[in-house]
Amino acid sequence: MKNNVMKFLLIGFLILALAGISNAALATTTVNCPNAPSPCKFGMAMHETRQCTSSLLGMCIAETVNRCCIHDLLFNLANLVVLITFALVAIAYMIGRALENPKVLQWSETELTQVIGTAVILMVFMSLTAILDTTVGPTFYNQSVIFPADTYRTSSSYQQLHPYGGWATVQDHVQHYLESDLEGTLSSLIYGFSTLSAMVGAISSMSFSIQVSSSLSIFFTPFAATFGPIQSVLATVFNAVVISAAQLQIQLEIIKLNGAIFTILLPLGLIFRAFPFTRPAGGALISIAFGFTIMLPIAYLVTEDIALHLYGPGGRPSGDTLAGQITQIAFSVSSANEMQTFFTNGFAEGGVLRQMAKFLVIEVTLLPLMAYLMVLNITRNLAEIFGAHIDFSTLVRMI
Amino acid sequence: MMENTVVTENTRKNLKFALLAALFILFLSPNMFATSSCDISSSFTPGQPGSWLFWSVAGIGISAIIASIIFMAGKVLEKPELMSRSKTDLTQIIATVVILVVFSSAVIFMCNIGTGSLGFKTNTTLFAAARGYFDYQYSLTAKEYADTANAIMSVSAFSSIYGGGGWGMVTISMSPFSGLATLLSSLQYIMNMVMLQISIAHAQRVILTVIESVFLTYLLPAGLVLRCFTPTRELGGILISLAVGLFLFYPLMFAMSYLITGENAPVGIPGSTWYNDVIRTGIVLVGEYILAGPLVSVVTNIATVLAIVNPQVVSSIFGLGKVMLVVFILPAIDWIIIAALIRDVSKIMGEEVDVSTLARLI
Repeated sequence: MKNNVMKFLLIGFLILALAGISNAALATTTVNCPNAPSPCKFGMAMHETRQCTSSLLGMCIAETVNRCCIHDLLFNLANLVVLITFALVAIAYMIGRALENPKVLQWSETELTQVIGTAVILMVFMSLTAILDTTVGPTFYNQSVIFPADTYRTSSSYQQLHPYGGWATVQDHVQHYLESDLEGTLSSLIYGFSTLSAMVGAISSMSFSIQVSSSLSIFFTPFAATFGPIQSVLATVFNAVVISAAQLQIQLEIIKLNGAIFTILLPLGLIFRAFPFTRPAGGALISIAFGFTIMLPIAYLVTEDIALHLYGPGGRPSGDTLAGQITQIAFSVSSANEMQTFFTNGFAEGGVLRQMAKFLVIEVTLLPLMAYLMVLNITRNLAEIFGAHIDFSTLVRMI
Repeated sequence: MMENTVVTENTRKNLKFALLAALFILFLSPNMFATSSCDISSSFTPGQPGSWLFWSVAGIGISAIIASIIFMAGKVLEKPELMSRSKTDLTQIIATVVILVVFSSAVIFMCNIGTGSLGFKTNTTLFAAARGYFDYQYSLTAKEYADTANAIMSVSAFSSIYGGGGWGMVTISMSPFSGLATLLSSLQYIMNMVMLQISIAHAQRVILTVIESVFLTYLLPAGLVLRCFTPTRELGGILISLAVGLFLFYPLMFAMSYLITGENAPVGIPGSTWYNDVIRTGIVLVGEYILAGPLVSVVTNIATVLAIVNPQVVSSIFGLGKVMLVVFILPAIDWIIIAALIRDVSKIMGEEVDVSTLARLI
């Protein structure tokens, strides 16, 4: 009897703490978004959304549209559903006691344990989110965690690339990394390549015709032999750039959705987890939210660390220098009349083709791929802990 | 002492009965009195789009009559095994009635959820929100198709321009924009991806329509009837879990995807603009050629053409990411959850249905 009372007290305390923590977090935590004018609450930032201004027992009773903050309606709904489940299970427990039915008693006890589990999951999640933005992020911003001897993060060129310094959220930082560092480089590469292709094409298509007599004319294309093969190399590399750019865009879009995944999938998972028949699916949703909002940004921070170690800030290939360097190589090939020069110069240490291959293969493709495999693996294992067996093979294959 | 035990026993029985009655009334009330805002109505009138409830009740009723006839036949023919089997069937019919009551309540509850209460900007049904997602998804793929087609047409048209001029015996000719043709294979690769995405986006929208109009009307009543008899019970369970699982969770998950992507309205599809660019540049090219000579004309126009083509190419490449997210990635996550939910629902029926193959197929 004493044990049961203790259990109920503990659960009641946990539920109250849960409702209190989420509402208190909404009321007190203020985070500044670098790209939006108004302050943002609740850690994860998202533009053009709603913010709860007044709440009662976990239900939002007044909300305003905010350009920066996330809406907390689903979170409140999740709190409410957990509270209702708790109440229903408590009623079932009382009925079980009244009827002296051991099956009902056992069921309600199991459900109570699950309610505690849900509350604990939410609290752990909230704590991790807070730690991610306040501790993990700043640790990575100020120094290289993987290569402590590197000082790139504190260098002026890095600070110039990342002008916000103290980031509101890790998501903002990662989004800036993908947009500014990677997308910017790829965009400049595409511009550089199309300019270069146009120039090379124009020169290689140039043909001369000399009318020797009325019945004889000499026709020749002097640059086609040299520039033709270069053009085919350019086409191959451009294909690689396009594929990298397309998959980088997917990564960027996923990162942009991070806040929304957190505020929508997590509460939905908590709601599903409240009911016995949908519990595994709820576990799957919670683990997906965990993987994409906690693990993925950390994986990108690690990725950025490794990439910075490889290049140093500002060491990525640029479309402008690329066009100039390849044109130079092309003309040297033309004068020396050997294709070998093109590859020797391009793939030499510091050569533009080598630099670009490293960027496209390692930073844009391989490192994010490893990050996603790691995140999906953790997500799958976490889902198994929550009682869900989710098949990520399609998603992994797609990535 | 004896008296007390009898009183407690009676109280327990009465309490059980009261609980059962309360639960039954609770579950039945929305079916009888609720006016649904859902796309399918909850009326009992046969012949209407929402006649699934009528056919389900009728199917179970007919099954009960058949099971009773078999029981009576068993009694008349003095066949205990026939009686025993029909008794089991009758028990299962009662269980099926409970399943119908619970599921129809869930369906009507689901239909009556206003999306405004889930944090959506507009208050509508989950089906409408899911349709909103599919409209957005389809418009995004169509826009990407139009953008890529424009880029391909521009690049093809410019790269095919061929001109030349002569001084006395010497003639110089060239195809000044032929180098842009190297971009074509990449753009065609994007086009292939977009075509696939258009088909997938269309398939996802069709599935919603089918789920909405067919699953409850045909699959659920058929599943309920099949579940009433021993030889077809497993198949009935599978049909019920598919019908109810997909009806409940498919629109819910895609509505959530709509919320995640910011409830965007369908984007506008750009018209075909490439010929304007080509004609305009062609006129300038000829004009410059006449006034300033071929070399000046080529150099200045390569820059002009690149200024037209480059943004189109970049927009086409970078637009692919968003389309892939909306058509592949988010639906893949949705399908993972839907498959898990249907598996959970089917476990109630005693059968485990795996729809992940269907998801992979899509």
